Amino acid sequence: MASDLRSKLMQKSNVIVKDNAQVLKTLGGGQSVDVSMILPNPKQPRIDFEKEDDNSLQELMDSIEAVGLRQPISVYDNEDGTYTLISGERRLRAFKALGIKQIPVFLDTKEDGSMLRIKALVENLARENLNPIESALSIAAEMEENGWTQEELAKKLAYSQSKISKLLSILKLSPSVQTKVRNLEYTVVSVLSELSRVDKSRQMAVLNHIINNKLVRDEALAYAKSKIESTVKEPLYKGTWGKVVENHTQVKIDLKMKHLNEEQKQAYEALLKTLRD
Amino acid sequence: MSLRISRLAKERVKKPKEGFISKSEFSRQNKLQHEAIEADIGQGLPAIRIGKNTYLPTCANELHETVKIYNEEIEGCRTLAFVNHKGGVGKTTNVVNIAASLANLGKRILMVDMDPQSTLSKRFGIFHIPHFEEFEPSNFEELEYLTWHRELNKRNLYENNITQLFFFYDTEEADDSKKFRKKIKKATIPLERSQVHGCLDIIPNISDMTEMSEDIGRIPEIVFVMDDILELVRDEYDFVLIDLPPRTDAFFRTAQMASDYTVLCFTPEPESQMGIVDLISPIRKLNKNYRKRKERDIHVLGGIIGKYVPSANVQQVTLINIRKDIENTLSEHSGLFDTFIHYAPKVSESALGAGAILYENPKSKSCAEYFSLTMDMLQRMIVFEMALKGDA
Repeated sequence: MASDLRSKLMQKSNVIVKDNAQVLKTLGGGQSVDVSMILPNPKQPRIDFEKEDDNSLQELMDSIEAVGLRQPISVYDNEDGTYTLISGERRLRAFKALGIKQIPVFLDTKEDGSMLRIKALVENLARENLNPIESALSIAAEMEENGWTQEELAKKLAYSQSKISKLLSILKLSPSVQTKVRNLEYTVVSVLSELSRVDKSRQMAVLNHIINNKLVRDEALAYAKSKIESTVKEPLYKGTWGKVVENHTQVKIDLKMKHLNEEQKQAYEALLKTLRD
Repeated sequence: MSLRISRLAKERVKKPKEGFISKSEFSRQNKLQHEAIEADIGQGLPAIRIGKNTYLPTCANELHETVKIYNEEIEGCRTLAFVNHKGGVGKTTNVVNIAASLANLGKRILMVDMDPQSTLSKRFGIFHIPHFEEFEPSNFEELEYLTWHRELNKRNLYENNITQLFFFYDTEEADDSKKFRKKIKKATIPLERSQVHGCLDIIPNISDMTEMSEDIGRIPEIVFVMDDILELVRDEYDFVLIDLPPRTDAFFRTAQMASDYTVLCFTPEPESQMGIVDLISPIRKLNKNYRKRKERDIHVLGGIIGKYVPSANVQQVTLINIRKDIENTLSEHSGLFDTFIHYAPKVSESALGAGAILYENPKSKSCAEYFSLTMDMLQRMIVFEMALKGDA
């Protein structure tokens, strides 16, 4: 045991001695690659670059000119002279606009496409200013491509499933509301998710009310909810035995067993049997 | 895909699960007499006592072996600075628990609290309470508490803390190294804890010093102050562990200059990863000065992952990124330590007075993990210093 561990440690230290040029100068410089050799990430969830105002890009360019790039961008080495961007699209665009040919990078090894997107997604979701529509679109695409359920994706991203389903429900909003969200005029996901349950023709009005009156989240939620309730239908049937509520996606039957008479019980069992078979 | 992530994240040496076994179990496994085991406890063999029972962590044998090799290879005191640009990543938690593990092995430890928020000191119940004498104790615990604070009061925390030592450095009195040493000793508080076999001392900080510490950058030659202070007491310790605020200011530079090794602290969260670059560039800037003084480069020993939750995929992805970022900016030999500290509420509970998890929940998994992490760190030091010697 004693000699085992010692020789194991010796071996490790020999490796260090061998490439000590690399190790004892642990603080050596980073790598740079040619800007033109970097290909865009095909799975980039951030699709709204064109709409971004030029000011923030200009700010980034100014800062790069003044103090250089503080955080290198991440790229994969495609091993054919080209690289694929993982994160740092804005920094790359700033470098291109400044006409600087070499950009500092962190090199990653090549990985499969789905991993690429999960990574880009995680990096982007961690940022605040990715608009919810972009998040939702990339999540939807991810699920469709891989055939994942909401639950599976939630696990992979360490999100709660309700967060995912809320995000996805945003895509059901009317196009004009979606545009507003895209322009970052309103981005509170839980409220938007509630809003998606309001009748499409009224969504815009409800959202305008929320924005104009600067409702805080809880107020906005309550307000949106109140607008949904009026769209829910009255029960189809109602009696001492229970009630039946129908809306466009489901039928809810609420029976109080002890109030059913023999005939009704038989009818219920027959219905169950039909559904089961 | 999910498999792939976990495989990448877990590309580290498989180790037996961290935990504890009883002394009789250990004696059976290793065919050792109880007397032989007892003789090694406190001499490099980790062990905890709960009542009459003794337990050893599952890594006990390898850790014991590691300490033996460490003692043969490395002489003198080693100073470690625990850093990250971001707060809440477990710097203080790592410092106290690694210090506790090392003290359990029989090593002599000095902890230095350089954070003006003085979280390290507070963990061990060191803080200033005004008018506590008026307080009437009604039970034993309160009496104990009162006695401890009476003791602290005698020490006059206002005058005797690390911030004051920094300003004392700038006075003429400090030129007399005997006087300075006395002043340092006065600020040093020995912590009496049952599982300590070596010694566990702390030079505390108190939050009342926050304002004063803002001026610390104005002390001339500030980068060398910490090293000069420690040099006066290093002969009494095997390890000095420095806890730093989450910044890269004068505190950071002077601690870095005093250190033999830098330890990076992370949690697998995206924000924690983003701090890496902000941290590496100031280290890089300091290196020139460091080389002049120590005749070698600053060495990052490795990174500690704390608050680890294996089931969270966002953590796995961030982990891969942290690993790659470190290995890209430093080298693969300075990567993450093999042992991860899993998330456990008990670890934070120990922040309330006892100090380390070893003194609050000695038989917990976290405690065993810290023994294992301590072993990883000692092995890295051995490997690095063997290489240094081989190179010379």
